[in-house]
Amino acid sequence: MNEDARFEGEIRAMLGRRDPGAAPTHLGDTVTERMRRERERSRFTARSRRLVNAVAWLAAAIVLSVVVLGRPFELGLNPGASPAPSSLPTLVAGDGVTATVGPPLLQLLLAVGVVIGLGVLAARAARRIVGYAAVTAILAMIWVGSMIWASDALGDGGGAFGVDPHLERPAGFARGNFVRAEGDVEFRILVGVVNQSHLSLNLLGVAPDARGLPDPERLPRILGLGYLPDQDCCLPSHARPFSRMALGPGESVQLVVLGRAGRCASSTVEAGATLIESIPLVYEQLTLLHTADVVLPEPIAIVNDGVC
Amino acid sequence: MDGLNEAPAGAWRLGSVTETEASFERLVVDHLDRAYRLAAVILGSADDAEEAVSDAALLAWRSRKGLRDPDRFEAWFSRIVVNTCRDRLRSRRRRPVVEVFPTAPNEASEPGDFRELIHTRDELARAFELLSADDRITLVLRFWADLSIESIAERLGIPSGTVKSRLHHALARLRAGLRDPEVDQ
Repeated sequence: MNEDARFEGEIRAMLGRRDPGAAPTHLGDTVTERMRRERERSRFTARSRRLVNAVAWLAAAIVLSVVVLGRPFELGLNPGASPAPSSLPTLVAGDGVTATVGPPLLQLLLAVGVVIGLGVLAARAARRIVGYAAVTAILAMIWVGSMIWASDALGDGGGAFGVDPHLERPAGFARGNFVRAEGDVEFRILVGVVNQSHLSLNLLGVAPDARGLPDPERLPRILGLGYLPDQDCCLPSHARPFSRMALGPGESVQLVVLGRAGRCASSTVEAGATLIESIPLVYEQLTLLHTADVVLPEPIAIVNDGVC
Repeated sequence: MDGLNEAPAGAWRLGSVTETEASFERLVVDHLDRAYRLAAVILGSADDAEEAVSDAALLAWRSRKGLRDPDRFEAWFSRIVVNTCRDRLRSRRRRPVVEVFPTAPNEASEPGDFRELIHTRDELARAFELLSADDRITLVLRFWADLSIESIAERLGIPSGTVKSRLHHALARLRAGLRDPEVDQ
């Protein structure tokens, strides 16, 4: 026997002495139990992952459709506006006045849940493409959220602007578009508004007067909202009652705001004037309700007699 | 010498039965004995071997979809066991642990030189403990499991040439460790 063979023989013997023989009987039980627990855990994980995947894909599909198609989703919110006109109905008080806006807690919770779900999916996705899709969906949600969070989607549309009945600006007043009114008579403001955001929105109406005055009929106030069809520009008397309408990015509409001048209004006694500088319009974007104060190109002024 | 190339009866022809979880569990349990012995020889500790095999079985369960050919289960599972043992050995080196191995019983094959034989066995066992994880595993697969170079290459996932080279260097380091036990392997 040469040296190498003898050395290898010693190694074999040494290794043979390290061999403890058959495995202890409890090892099989331990392994079986661990695999059983793993099976149950993996089933639960698989179910959870399927659920998270479904939520994530749904959210991604929603975000993608919003971004790509730019269309809002109708969730059956009723703005309280009048039904669409059938035979040229006239604009009356109460038309187009919609509910006030509460904080979007439900949407916020839903968005946070979806983002967390997408984050979990991105971290634990077995396939890289799924992780990328989840991260993209998160970024898209953040991008969309940043666009719809502020109430700044509506602005002056630059169309026709005026008030009816109109009064020439009295001497002594530097600015204002004046209303000819004696007492609490109706007046109409013609103003164009535009959707200046990158997403579509639903214009729901005008917010009700929330000043809570003890004698509201004493002062000017907004009572309703109408609109002018495209072919009817620009006679306020042709206004139709407003109903919910969708405005795509960059689209505008000619609105008619119905108001009353208040008992103190006077076109002859020029003691002072009340100004209406903006119109509170309510709109919806991706289920979020906003009230946007659309600033008028020039304040609407109602002269008062200073006595009433 | 017991080796890994002995197949347990009835474990090699399960074919598509391994697609079911219960069958896979049975397959793992059927191979526990040889996996445990392999781990014990590599690690030199029965307790460590139990834990390593238990971990390896769990890893095998999690990655069972990677087993395309049930006939290759033994080689596939051995590879997982070997990898688990390698991780444990490397972890030991990071957290130095003093392992005490019992002196081998007298098994002198030739009358008259048993004292030298016992001395050599002790020194050999100590020198083996000083080897790197890869060297240990290669020697165990070659001289305890009696696997061919190609089979070792398959289990370790390396080319045959690398196995030959690793075997050569492992033997050289084992000899060096015997000559000078203070040499840090």
